[in-house]
Amino acid sequence: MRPAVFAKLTWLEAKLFLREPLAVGFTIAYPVVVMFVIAGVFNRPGEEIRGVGGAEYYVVSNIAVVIAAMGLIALPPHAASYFERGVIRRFRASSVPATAVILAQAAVCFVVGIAATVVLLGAARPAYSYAFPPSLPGVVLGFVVGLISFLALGLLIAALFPTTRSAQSVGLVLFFPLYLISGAAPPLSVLPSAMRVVADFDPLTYAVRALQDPWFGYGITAMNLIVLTGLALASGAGAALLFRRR
Amino acid sequence: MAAVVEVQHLRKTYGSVLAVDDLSLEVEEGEIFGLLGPNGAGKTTTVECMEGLRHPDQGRIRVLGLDPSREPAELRRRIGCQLQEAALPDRIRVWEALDLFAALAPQAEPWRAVLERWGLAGKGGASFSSLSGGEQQRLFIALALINQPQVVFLDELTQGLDPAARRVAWDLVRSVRERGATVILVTHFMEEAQQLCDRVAVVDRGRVAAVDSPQGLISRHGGGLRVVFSVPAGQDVDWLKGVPHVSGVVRQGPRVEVAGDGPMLAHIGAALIAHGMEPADLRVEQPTLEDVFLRITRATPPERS
Repeated sequence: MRPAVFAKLTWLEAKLFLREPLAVGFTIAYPVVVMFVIAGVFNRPGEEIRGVGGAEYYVVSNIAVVIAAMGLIALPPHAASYFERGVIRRFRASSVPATAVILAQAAVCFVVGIAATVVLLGAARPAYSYAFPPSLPGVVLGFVVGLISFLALGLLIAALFPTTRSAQSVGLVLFFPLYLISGAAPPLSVLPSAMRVVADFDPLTYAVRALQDPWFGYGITAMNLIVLTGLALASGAGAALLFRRR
Repeated sequence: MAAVVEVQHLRKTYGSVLAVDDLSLEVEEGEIFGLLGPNGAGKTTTVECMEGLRHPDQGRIRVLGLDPSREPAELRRRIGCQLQEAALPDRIRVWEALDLFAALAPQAEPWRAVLERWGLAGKGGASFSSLSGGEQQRLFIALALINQPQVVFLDELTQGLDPAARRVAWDLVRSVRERGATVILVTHFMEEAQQLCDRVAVVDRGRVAAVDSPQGLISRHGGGLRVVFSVPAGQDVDWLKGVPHVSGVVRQGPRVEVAGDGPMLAHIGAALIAHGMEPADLRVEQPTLEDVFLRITRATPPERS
């Protein structure tokens, strides 16, 4: 397929995404609301989490909520519905491969994820003070790798659960527990030790840390990026295999 | 005429279900070729293999000389497909769909002209989900034709259309052929096949049971002609059995039904006059494609129980 056609397809997918009020609300507005509530609660002078104030901790950590919302809530039902309703068949019959359609959707989710993060940080600015990250490249790297790995996971969910309803349910069922033990809700330091063990198996924990470590001055931690890259590769390969078999 | 589509010994199973079993056919350039059969006969599976959307288990397919499984990209530039059970995203606008599909083919018509032609002129800005069934179907036909294809596959074209819209669709199919394209039409509507098709393959249980023109099928498998008229009670008509080309006479009250073939009608007319009878309701009852179809599919014994 020619790049101009892929660009047209992606632009079209972007317009379609913006016409879905639920997807826009959940991925752009929801993280902002969560951030205001939790950062407001923990914005107490003298109390620090991971060496920063509570408000800053939650402003930064809620970027991971954007990442999880894009990958687990926005993408799976959207991609699954295209297979379920025959949109993919229609496109394939006119030589638009399924992978191109799916990649266009993922590309849109990637850009919306960036936009949602900008909105989140912009909305937080007047209310809460947070420091500019000492390692901006580290934060950007963590964000990009985290977002790509969760989008790949979202495609794997869409490939495994071929109906819109099931893909949506699985995404939601994963979203909340992964969020609650990732450190983006209660800090990992207050989790009971058993739960902290479980948190080590939560990929969102690594996305949260991949944002926090360079932002809070702990530098780039290779472990976070390795786990997220592994998730991206495994999910992407699994999804590609399953989609090809359809 | 050159064969545009060749299918030899096609076989396709889904798990333990045999969808197509040793199906062979040829479609010639410029014709409207019908695949006629009941639901589940294997028609859609066959065209999906021709379109490269499914891969046959066995058999050889060539469409425009190309192998659909191996050269799908080249093939799809030159064919158009209207699919059963396809959809567009709910919120896509009509013009956006046409614009995208036109971008796929360098030879495509501008989408504004296409909108006019398919009676969707006022609907360019409407979302797909807001269209009526007939409008969605017209959009799918427009999408199938936007790349000016050499071969067009239309699968259950008029499903969900009301009778008036169906006639409009038939005219559109004829105009597609007049532009020089070959049309392969999947249908279970006898009338549609009779109206449109130059040749029809009757598909039953995954095989081609018969191929001919609709008229040829009727004369070969229709069981001959029947001439019907009424006579007053008590009138003797047994002498009709001696009239040339008559093979049988059935009398039910005033109604007389004469079976036979060829120029039977003229002979019966002459014989009736000679016997001093002038029935006002003398008429020929032609078998329909439906009669033919039932006869063919009933005559083929099932291979498996």
